[in-house]
Amino acid sequence: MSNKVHKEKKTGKKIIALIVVFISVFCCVFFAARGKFMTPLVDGAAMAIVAPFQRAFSWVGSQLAFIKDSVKEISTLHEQNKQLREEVELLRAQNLTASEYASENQRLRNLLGYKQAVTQFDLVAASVIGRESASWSSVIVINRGTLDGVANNMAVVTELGLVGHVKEAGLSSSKVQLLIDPRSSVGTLIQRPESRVAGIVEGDIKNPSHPRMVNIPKDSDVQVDDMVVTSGFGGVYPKGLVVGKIVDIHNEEGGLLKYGVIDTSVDFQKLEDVAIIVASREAPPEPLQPPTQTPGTETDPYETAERLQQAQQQIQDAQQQIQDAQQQQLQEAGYVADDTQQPEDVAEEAAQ
Amino acid sequence: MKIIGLWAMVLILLYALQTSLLPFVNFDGFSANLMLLLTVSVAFLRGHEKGAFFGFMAGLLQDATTGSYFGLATFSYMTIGLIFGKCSVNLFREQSLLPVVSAIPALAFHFAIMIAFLFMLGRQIDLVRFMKFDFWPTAIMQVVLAYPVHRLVLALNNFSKQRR
Repeated sequence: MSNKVHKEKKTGKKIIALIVVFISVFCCVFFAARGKFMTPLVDGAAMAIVAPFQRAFSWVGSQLAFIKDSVKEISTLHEQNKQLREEVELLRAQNLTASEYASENQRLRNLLGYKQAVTQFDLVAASVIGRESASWSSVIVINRGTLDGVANNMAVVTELGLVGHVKEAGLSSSKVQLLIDPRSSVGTLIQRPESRVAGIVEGDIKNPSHPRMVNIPKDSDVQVDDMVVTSGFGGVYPKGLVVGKIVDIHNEEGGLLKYGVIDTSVDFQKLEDVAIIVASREAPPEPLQPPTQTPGTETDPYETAERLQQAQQQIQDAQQQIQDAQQQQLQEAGYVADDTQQPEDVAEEAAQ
Repeated sequence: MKIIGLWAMVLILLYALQTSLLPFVNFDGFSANLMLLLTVSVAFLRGHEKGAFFGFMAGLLQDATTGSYFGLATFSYMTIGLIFGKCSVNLFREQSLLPVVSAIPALAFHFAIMIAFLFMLGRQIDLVRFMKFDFWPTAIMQVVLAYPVHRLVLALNNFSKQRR
């Protein structure tokens, strides 16, 4: 019986202790949340006990994480490699396309610049779409035909110079016989003002990349590095188109004539975009430039011209005023009929 | 004395494991709460008094090292130790599936106490978001680790009984 009472007392004490602990902890939470209960000693001691184990486990954890990442990386390496290869191929293709566009853009810009510079020609731009397999470097096919206004014997040029002429114009494409074709002959002359020697440029079968300027008299003034331009003779090629420059001069076998080897200004191996001269006219005169002025006495030519115009206008106004005044005096004196009078009145006055 | 030291060592080791190694093995950013599992296992095996005491010690350790509100974990683990210890009176204590099954209710109880305290302290918590993003990932980790922790506590308990 006493054991039972003792046990009950013990249980009661435990319950009271438990309740006290619960209430204490409960209060602790609220006091700690408001910063009124701090336990730096307990915190420090607990940290000191736990920290070495945490450090050790943390090291193990970081090693495991490293291994896990390595394994994951290796497992994805093959797939990643495959993706990167595909990406490289795609980027290479894009790069190639971009380079192609850039090159085309540059060529078309040059051609456009030439088109704007030569106002005496009407040009139609065309792309080279083929070369004849029999003589691939002498005849090309372009993507413009009669529907675009192209006709036979029209000159074909690039911004660098003469390419050849249209040999056969189709509906939407045309064959162009190049300058270096052995069957081609172009009337030319030396551009140098002191020379102006005329000759014919024709293709050379032995040296297809360098046509010859033939029919040059032996004693004529032709030198290496002379520029050769079209003469306009024959009517196919307009005058003044650049053909190339003389790089070598040889005597003909007969002994009376000589010929010059020409380095063409156009690289026929890299021909991609050309322009066809569909119409040509006289070149407009160069705009007048003000003459060179003596240093120290320079005037603004535009200002002078403006003043001149104003002065001319003033003179015209003064002349008009004088004429009006004279007219009025004559009218007042009765020598001249008033313009404002009706024709019937004037007739009556004349009858009287 | 040696037995108490052994229990203390296990407590510290598991706590160090929970705060250092387990974050590397997480599910959706959440890792297991070993202190809670330990408290529940001790409560099932040793009754409500030892459960409450063990919860008190585990909570105190957590509050003293990483707890943001001192006493919150202590109160929660102590309550859980007491309640689950009381519940285990009519159960076969060495049933291994029991702590695994009770891992989720214990966690729910722990979170409920936390939320209640936070509400009382004036903190606003989005319960739906909390359940979706915090509770379930942690619950899965608890279930996964409940059995190994219970086996450890069971071994330690048997060892303590033998030494006594």
